[in-house]
Amino acid sequence: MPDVHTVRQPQYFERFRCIGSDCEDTCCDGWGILVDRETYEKYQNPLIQRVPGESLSSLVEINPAATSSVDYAKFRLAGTRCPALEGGLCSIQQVLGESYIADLCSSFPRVLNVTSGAIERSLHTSCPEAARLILLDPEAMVFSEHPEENLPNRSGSLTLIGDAPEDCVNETRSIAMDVIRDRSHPLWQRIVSLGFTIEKLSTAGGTARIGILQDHVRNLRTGAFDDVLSRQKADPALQIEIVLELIVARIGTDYTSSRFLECYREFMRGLDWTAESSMDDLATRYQSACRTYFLPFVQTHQHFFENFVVNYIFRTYFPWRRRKPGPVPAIDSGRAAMTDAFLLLAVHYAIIRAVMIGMAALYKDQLNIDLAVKLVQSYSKAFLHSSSFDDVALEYLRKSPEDPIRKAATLVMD
Amino acid sequence: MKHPPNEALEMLIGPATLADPQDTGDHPSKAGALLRLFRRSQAALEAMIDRGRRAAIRGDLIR
Repeated sequence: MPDVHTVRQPQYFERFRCIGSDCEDTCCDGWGILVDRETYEKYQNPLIQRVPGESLSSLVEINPAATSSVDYAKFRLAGTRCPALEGGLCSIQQVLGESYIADLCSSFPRVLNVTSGAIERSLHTSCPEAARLILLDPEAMVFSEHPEENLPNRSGSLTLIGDAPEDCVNETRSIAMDVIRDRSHPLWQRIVSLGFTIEKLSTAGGTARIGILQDHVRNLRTGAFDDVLSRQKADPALQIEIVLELIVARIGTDYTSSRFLECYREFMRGLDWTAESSMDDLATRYQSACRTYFLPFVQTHQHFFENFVVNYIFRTYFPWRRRKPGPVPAIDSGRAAMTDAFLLLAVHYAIIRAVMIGMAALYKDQLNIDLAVKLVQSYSKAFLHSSSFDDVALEYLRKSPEDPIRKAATLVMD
Repeated sequence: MKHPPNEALEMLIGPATLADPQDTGDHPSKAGALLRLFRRSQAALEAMIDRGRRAAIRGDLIR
């Protein structure tokens, strides 16, 4: 590890502070909590103070699915909660200090990716406070790049990713983010147009990709795609059907926090979805809520979805895909990985968008930014941290005889 | 073969995605599929509420 690192981060990153017991959806509840090997071994020391009234060793267990020292062990959850959670705070940190909490507990919701000598910092939208910083500030996704001399965090909190497959990863990704931020077209058209370039990007190599994306931005801005894009018509029935299938697949798999279930129930109530509903009924109400309440809301808060998508692109190395084929995660530069990266971006955006349309049908002009943040945050916690959902979604899109990119495109159209 | 941008885009997302706004595909088989989906959705919600009460996490979801 060199002494001087390039650090890339969005503007919002430095502003994050954990709000502790004031958090409305604590990260110590609702999912598995991994423990690194060094921390696990520290907890085996019988001389360490008991927390809370129990030995530290009894709170953790070896993770049978471990792939590296990072996920060597895990907390034995008390129901859905970390056994060390007391009054909304971590009793281990309270009693023994920061050095006794696991690496991932120390870093979350920070994402600290290290690749090709650069540290890339961002935040997960699954943390309520982080979601507010990312989604509410129009300037949140302004990026900076600067050198730093020392490792800014515990080394165990850094996610070491294999070197970037090409030199142009950062530049290519930056242009993809520019496409998403280019307000000359509605967001769905920017996303669909990115899908269009994926085929070309995945067959090109190295710096040729930069040229392809630059051409693409030029064509988008000069209206070269307008004729085709303007003739596309959303198919609400198809959007509803696919989104419902994917949501049901996810919440039927594992625990889902009540916050997302509240949003999903509001979607159902908004569309008045009952056992007697016809797809005609649902599609008509969905389309009406989209036009009357959702689109005006998005128009007023354009940065909201843009920031979500840009943060996702930055964190996941889109149009590449971050995977974990072995102990060390890597950036997958294969052709299929690029297609998958687009499909997943479209699916995640499409589900959030569809649920928000249902919530808009319920709340009407009372739909507000706090509800929107709650949806994105709870969705992120339930879907973006699932170890199986991405594969489920990809398999679902691929089983149709239709081209999966085309199918994903239909999911995001307004 | 190189296509002009508009034509190339149409090849990808083209007319096949143009939905007839008059046709939401609401025929009997679709209605049956929707009802099945509704029942699965309700079952998943109920199972989740029940699982929440029993407080079990299977391990798919990782912080």
